[in-house]
Amino acid sequence: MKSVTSIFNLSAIALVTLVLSSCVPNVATSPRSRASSGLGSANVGLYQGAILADNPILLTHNANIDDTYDLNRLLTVASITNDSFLRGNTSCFGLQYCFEVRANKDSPSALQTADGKWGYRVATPEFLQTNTFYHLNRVTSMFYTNLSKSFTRAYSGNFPIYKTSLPLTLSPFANMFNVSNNPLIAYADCDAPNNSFFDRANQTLCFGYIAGKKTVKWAQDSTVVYHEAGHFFQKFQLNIRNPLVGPHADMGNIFYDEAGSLGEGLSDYYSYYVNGRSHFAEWAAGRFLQASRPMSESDPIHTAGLSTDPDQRLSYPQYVGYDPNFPTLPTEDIHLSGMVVSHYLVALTVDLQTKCAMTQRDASDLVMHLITETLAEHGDLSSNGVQSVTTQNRINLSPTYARDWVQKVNPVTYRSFMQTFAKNLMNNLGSPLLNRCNGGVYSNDQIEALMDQYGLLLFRTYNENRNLSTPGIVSNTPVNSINRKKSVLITKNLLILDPTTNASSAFVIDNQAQIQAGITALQSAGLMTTPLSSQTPSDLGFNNNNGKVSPGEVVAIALNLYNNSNSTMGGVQILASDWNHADVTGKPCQFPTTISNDQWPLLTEGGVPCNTVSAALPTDFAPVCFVQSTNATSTQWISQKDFMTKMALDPSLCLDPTNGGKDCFMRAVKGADQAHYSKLNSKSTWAKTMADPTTGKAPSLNWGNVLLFEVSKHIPPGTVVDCRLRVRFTNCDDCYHDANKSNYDFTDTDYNGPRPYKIIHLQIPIID
Amino acid sequence: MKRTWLFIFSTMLAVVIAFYSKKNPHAYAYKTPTWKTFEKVSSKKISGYQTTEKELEEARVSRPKRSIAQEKSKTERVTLDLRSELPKDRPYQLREGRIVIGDIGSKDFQDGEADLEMVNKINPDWKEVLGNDLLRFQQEDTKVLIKEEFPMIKIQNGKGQYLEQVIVTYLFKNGNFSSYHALVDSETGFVTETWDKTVHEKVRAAGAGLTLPDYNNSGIIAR
Repeated sequence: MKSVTSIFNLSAIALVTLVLSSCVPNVATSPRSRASSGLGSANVGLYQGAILADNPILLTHNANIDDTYDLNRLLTVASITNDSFLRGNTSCFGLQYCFEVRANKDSPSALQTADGKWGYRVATPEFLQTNTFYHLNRVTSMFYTNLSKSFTRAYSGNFPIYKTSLPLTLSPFANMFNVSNNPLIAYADCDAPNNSFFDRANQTLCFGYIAGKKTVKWAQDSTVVYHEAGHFFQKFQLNIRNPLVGPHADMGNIFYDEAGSLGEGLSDYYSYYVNGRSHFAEWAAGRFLQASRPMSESDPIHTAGLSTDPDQRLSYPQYVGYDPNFPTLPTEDIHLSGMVVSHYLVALTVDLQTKCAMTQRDASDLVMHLITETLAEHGDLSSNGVQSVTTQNRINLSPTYARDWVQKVNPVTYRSFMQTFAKNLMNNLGSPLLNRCNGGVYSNDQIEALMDQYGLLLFRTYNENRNLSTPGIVSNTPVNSINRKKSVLITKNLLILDPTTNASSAFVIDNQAQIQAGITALQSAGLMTTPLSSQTPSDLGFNNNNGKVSPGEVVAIALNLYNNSNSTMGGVQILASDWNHADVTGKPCQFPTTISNDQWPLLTEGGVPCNTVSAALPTDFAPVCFVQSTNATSTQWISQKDFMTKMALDPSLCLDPTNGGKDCFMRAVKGADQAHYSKLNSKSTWAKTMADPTTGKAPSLNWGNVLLFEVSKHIPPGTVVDCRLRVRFTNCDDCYHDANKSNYDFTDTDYNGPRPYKIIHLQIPIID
Repeated sequence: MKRTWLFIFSTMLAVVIAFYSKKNPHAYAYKTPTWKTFEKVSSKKISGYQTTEKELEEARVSRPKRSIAQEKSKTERVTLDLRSELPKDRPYQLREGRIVIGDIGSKDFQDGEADLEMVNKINPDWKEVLGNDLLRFQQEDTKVLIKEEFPMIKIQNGKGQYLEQVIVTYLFKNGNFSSYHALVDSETGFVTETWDKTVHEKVRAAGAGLTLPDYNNSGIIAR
């Protein structure tokens, strides 16, 4: 009886255990670990795994292999990790591990091995994770090893050798891994068709697949892993001087801009940095989407006319929008435009090997160091920019407005990036005190000559002084103008509105569905940083699709700009953000001719003389639009606040009821208050520049090409609004420096005024 | 007999537990007060609830295991009343349990060190206001996940502003999603700054399809 009882008890316990245990994943029988003892693991040793050492195109030497090719034939055995999970074991700041690789969003943790082996067949998700891990670990190790070297390049002990942007906390002892407090998570098998991406906020990498060929994965291409990891490292490089907590700087604003282009070009260079090969993404994106990218003019994919000859480089801005896969079709795309900087950086790496007798590894390590220095300075939101500066406001105006400056008012462009990069190159290799170029120096002439081959010698000094308004405190090294042979600088007055007879100078888009789509796109991308007014209905019911600006609407406005010069303009930017063009009472400024070619409005029309520009107080930032006020004797331009008073409108009925009527009736939507055109060909508009040459058809506009304005439902029809826009472009000769002050760059404060810009007025009648 | 009943009872208990565990695997969802989901149920209704594990998976939000060192630090920082961990990369100033950012200069704004005029107050419903605003213009069935990260005070022109650092993640009906960091005014619930927008590799991505009108009848005069 006792034994029967025991059997009953044991059976009960066993059954309960059995049933409960079915809820708990069993490592020994889970698919992840089962596969580790599968087909591939027999051929690998402990802590080893099977990987694709490069992408399949390179490994087969066959650019035409298709998706049915058995990639298992290309596997190589390599050391993976002695961890039981696919986790990067680099020592990280406060973190147990730096990064980990998972299959996809459904994976609760990193891949685990039961036997210490990582050998899998290519078709398995485990292989993708192992391959991603191997290459992510490779680029990570190289990057951080070089970062430690960067510290010794810039410091002697705790003392800067030159004016470096690298903070002391970059010391190898700090083990600072990134600018967040979480490890990087890479999903090797994301359900993202024709895409891979870096989610900067949640710090995850996602590698997708080729639509229609689900066995072809982006993570099978090591160059894509390096490129995406490059975006992660850029976030770190750009924010290396910023605290982990609080706002950070970004490379670009999603839609087309030059910071975004530079970010893509730099990420391409990360691939070269690891494997020394000047081509990116031959396999998945290249083979099936025709979207691979070269990084050298010697690449056979390039169109005729490009070579490594000094006068046949992939130069700016001529090759902005050039697609080597479809060379006759201009395309406004940050990835394609980024090729200018990736080609330059590869050419520089080669040049350093020749002129400084460096190995490719040493040369590319140095170039990566210069990228870190350059991004660290531009991204500094504390406004110091470099070490050893006790007074702030050397870059990005001030901590209060730094984000606005780096993202919009004075953003990273081909000009600003190359100028700072040149300074850092000069500091590192041009110093006779350091003699780091094979015992000598890499001269300024050499720096300038190569930049000029790429059309990138767009600055007139190296700007060491940066933002110190008094010349002489720190001298600026001038660029030798003889070296500017290919780089073209154009005066801003040659950027005009389309002068063609009967051509429109601006277009209004007020279609309800289109504007709604734009708002949702901008808001979900994080570009709209001010909510629309509560008086604007969520169905945009006032939008009437009549092509006019009406009360209560949200409208997109596109400018029809025209390049009236004989050269190509690159990086055109239109600003509708608040700026210092009103006095403290809100009256519109009439600027003297010494700082602006815009003498609007006359003093008799409400203008007040403003001789200086400041950017410290909220009153220094006036709304972009004024309102016309007519009475029996005169017509005046007045502030929206004064118009509100004149109308006796309660401030609570303004678009923003909290700011005292400052932009009561019409305002540029913050975040959508800047627009970009990648380039304008000579004597051409954007529509003609980007048109398909075979059909002559202009491309459609994107949200980055237009400005978004919100109009109050309380503005009376018949009212005329004047919005004073500011326009400039990257290869502008008089938008960035003062020819009367030894070509010193304008200060950050100057960018809050009219001086660096061409002023364009939009006089908008409000029509019901 | 008693033992037979014990056996049957144990078996049934086990079956019931197993059944519910299988049926509702997210019953033990990632329960933390820092995550909240808002969903646009209809053009007039937005609902809010605690974020589920499934939604976090859809947004590819990882929840890494923390190191012992981190757990220790977490314990130590409880007294600071920070709702997330505060990295030790810089000597942060703390005031009212919030991180002080902005134009600090050489001043000490920590508790008891300096008077500070605040330009706003803390509205306990700021997250609800934010969730509603982020979904106002979105299509039905769109969700937005808000992760509360750090409470802050931003110094600007000598005055302080209560802010909340959050991660905003949109989940769309078609499975797409996008994320970014944001600073949110603690009183109005309005976004004041955004950063960390997602970087895509979609080459030749489709644009907005905005076509220029054939002619300009807006009456706008540009010059």
